[in-house]
Amino acid sequence: MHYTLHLTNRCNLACRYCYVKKGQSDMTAEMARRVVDMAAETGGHHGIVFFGGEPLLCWEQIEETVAYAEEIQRTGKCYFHFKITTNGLLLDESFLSYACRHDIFIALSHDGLGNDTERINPDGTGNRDKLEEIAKRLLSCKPYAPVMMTVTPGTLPRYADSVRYLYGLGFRYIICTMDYSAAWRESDLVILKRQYRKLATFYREMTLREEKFYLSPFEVKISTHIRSHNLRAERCELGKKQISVAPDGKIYPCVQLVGDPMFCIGDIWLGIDEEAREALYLLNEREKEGCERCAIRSRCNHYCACLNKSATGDITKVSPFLCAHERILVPIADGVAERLYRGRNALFIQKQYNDMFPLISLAEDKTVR
Amino acid sequence: MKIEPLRSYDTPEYPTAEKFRSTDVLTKYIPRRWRYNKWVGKVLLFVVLTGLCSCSLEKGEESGRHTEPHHIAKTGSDTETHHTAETGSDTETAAKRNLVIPLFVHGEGRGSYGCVSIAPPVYLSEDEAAQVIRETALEYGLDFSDRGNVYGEELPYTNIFPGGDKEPGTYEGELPLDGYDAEKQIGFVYVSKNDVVSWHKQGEMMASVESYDMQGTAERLTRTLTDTAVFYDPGSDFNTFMELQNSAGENADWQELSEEYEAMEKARMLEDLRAQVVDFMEWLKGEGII
Repeated sequence: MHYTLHLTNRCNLACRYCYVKKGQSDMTAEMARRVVDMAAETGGHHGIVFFGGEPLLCWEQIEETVAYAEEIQRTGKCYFHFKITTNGLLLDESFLSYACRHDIFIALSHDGLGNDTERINPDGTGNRDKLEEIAKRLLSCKPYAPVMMTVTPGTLPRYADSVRYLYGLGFRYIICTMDYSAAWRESDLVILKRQYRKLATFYREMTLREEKFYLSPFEVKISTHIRSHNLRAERCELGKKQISVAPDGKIYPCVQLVGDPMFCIGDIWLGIDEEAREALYLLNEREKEGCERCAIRSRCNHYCACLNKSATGDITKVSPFLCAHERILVPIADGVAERLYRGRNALFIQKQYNDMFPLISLAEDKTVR
Repeated sequence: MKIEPLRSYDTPEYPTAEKFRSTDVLTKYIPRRWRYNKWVGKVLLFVVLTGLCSCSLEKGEESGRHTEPHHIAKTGSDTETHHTAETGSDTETAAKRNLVIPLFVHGEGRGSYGCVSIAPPVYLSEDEAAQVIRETALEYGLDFSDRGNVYGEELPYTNIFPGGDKEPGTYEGELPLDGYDAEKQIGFVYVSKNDVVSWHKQGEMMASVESYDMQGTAERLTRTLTDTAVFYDPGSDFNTFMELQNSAGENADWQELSEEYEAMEKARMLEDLRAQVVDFMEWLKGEGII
């Protein structure tokens, strides 16, 4: 289970597409410890994810929480891994060396070439130049840190170039997501198709060159076919594999639903309201209107409650843009996979069919480092 | 925009994990980058021994003959043979090197036709080029005397008219190799001016001026082909012609000047092409293939 701690709803950026309900609230140290206790009570292995707002505004809180979790870990009752998602602007040498010592996984948000269009400072200026330095610093400590890019209608024409740019900066794990809440137009779909075609060529090139490379839109869609017998394992299942804890201690099933009372499924003091969680889960499991007969519904993101909520305001209502996006992406991803498979590309086959690929990849890093 | 369910969708032509496990075996496909990594080797051994993945050596022996070829090589006797190993799993690994071979640049690799041209056209023919490539390769122990085809790839269309796309898309088709070493399972393609013209994407736009980008086309081909070296016509240098013309003076015989220019440029172009092949051979040495 992953526990996402929304340490604060403050942020030092003013991204135009941000879904976080901004404020001045921070989670107290006691509340963060309580979440760690909740995880420890169930034993096993858990992820603690530091999120925001901008979590690095609460660095002390992170240190305290990690120290507390490590103390529990030493008893052998429970094991934790830590992750932080940050905009990077406060990512300095001292935090990086702390993150390396405590094995904290760092994901950086960066919108590539379109960064300064949407992902801006509160005064409206951009921060891409500064981020280049930060990215270098991050990658020198953590060479496989993922980068998370949001694509908006404004940045769409440079989607493929942005991926190449991020690759050029040194990122090898590139996670892309569309801003589904934006006002997408029919004309954007033509551009989207062109961009995915360019990305497919890039993906193929990287695979043929046997580069260590992960490009989420393709990996995820290819995986939905390869693992079609076990798709449930790939899904978040709304509150069953991860929960988000707001700065006020309320629990939500997803980061994008934080702050909406309709989706509150408990709090850290009384625990998870199983009835509420199950009701939400079942509501989301219902087949979405219009999707019943779709031939690719099992491979589509239409089951993702938070995407639906951000796009249509209703977790059960699918956004037409999401539908169009999937109809464009799935055949392109399949096309590139078919070509790589037809050529029996060894890296492609290992990456997609070997469940132990992450472990082997880790062993490889040991030598590379 | 509205929700538009897809009424039908063809099953992709790559297997699901279950299908793969029942018909194939992972240990047949070891990426090059893993082969000399002792840590990866240890993990792979552990994985195979503990059965943590679907790797099984017996299964490998059973299914080793199902691999579809990437190249189909034609031997001298014109019989088609799959160059992926039908003979056993050891050679199969060699067949599936999936080498991405870089382009070795010697020569601008450009030419033109029409009013933009200021020197007589000089190009190397397929035969002239093949002879140099084969002879040079033979010096390094590579015998390109077989022929073959590459199919199912994203082969580049070209554009020969000014103002159009530099990269006018790709097509899926078949490309004859200009030479193939059946033992090393490496082929080559030589991109001639005629290739650039014949791969031109037919469109509405036409012009009386044509330009040929052999190097650019070759570069695009290298992005898509594996186990195949791409060489290109190095192209002539019009400056040589200008120098000749200047030194010959106003009364120079055009015919003689052209012939001298052609002879000089051909010699240089053949040297450039040979340099491309030598670079490739040195690269193969570095990769431990020859």
